[in-house]
Amino acid sequence: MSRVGIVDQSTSKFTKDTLLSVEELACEPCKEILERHKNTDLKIDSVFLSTTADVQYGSTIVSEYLGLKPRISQRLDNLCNSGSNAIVSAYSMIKSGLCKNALVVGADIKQTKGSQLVWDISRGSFTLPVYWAALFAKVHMRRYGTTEEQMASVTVKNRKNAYLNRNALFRKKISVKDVMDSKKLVEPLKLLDCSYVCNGASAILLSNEADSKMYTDFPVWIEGIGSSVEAASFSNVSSDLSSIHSTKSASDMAYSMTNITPKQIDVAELHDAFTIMEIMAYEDLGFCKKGDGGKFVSQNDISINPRGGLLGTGHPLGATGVAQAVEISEQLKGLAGNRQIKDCKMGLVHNMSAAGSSSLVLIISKD
Amino acid sequence: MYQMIDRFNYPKVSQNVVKEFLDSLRKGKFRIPICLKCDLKIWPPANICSNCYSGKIRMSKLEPRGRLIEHSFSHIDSTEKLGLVEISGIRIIGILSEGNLNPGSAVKLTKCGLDKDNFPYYEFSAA
Repeated sequence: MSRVGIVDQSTSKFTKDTLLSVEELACEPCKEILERHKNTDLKIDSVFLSTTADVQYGSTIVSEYLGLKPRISQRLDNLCNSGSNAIVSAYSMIKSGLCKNALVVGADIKQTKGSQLVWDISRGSFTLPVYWAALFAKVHMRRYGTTEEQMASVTVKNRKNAYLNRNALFRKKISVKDVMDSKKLVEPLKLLDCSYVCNGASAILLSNEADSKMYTDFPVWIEGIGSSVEAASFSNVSSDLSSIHSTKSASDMAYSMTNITPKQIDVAELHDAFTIMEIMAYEDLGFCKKGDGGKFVSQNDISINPRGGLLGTGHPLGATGVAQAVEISEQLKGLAGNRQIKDCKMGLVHNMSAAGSSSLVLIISKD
Repeated sequence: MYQMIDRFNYPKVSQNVVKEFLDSLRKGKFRIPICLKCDLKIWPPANICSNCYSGKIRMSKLEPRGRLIEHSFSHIDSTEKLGLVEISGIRIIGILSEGNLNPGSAVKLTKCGLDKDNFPYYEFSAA
């Protein structure tokens, strides 16, 4: 069966302040992609906009701004994993033959209402995500002995990676002590254990196999997709808070689709909305044994979050999943510049939403 | 109609159990929707049963005793202890009004209501 390739990709600089609307932000990385293909006969026949912001007719407005007249134009919101879900929607339409070339763009603004799921009244007045993240952290510490310093090391690593990423919001290296001394929010989490919701946009161009080979010499391929939805509310995710069950299910599905094992992954973008979530993702994605996530932070076998993750790059909710795929694509194509990982052939994207109530995993390969 | 209902944009239906839940909460009473057909406790409150899709629902008191699953301290506004609690098979994040509660401790719902921002709050103490 014909494969779906990532032909091109781009990310704008993530920021704390912007005067642009969501639709205008979305155009930034798209313009770069379209500019690179302006002298070809590439025809974008579908546009997918991933955003959690309160916009109307967003993907069609973006299409008009860009002078595109796609056959299919859709906007998608699934909170923090909107981006990877938009990629899956585009992938499916290409696979079905309904379209050939899909522009997938994720864009969001700092003020998005998507950063708090107010619908979930089982959380009472504790609506901020940091509350559930702290409860996960407490369980992991109690059960497996994970330490605050190990969690702090996740931020230190990801900020170090972000230092090399010109599009990252936080490009200053920090120490474990900096994280430990940052403002206490909800124990054991401190300010620097948490990602920052910001403005930003990322885009990728997906094509069927024939067009992928026509429009780039270096396509990479989406080989595996796994997705799992447990619930929308925190009260109905699995009662065992030591694990992100949707991530485990999604990764099992993705590995099975590609017939590969976690050991074959060279580079991964993990959803480190909070430091503890990266540690739990190591375990639930099968990179290490359950309970060993804290120690795994210091390993060097798999390159984790080379662009800086959400902790270093910032977290524009609807853009994050696309930005993760952009990074993996650039790494596999050898386009990552000063943060290029040597000889990487197989990459993984892990993108999740609302206390891990849903997760999506993509496996992307270089031929 | 409460500002709370407007904020959550709940649909107008013949029986709005979410509104009934919030009305009770405002009076300090914790009553949740239970499906008349299959007895499912519908939590968080919704106007339809997720098991049998029946819209025939009664509001019912729950046994307020349960156990603490996990807890933490928040320092965001003021310092307060919070916990994830399970009572009668449903899970809630609430305030813990006593300091010496630990995971596994028996707890009971002692207070509930809507706060100044119209957010629900639930308060637990040792059972």
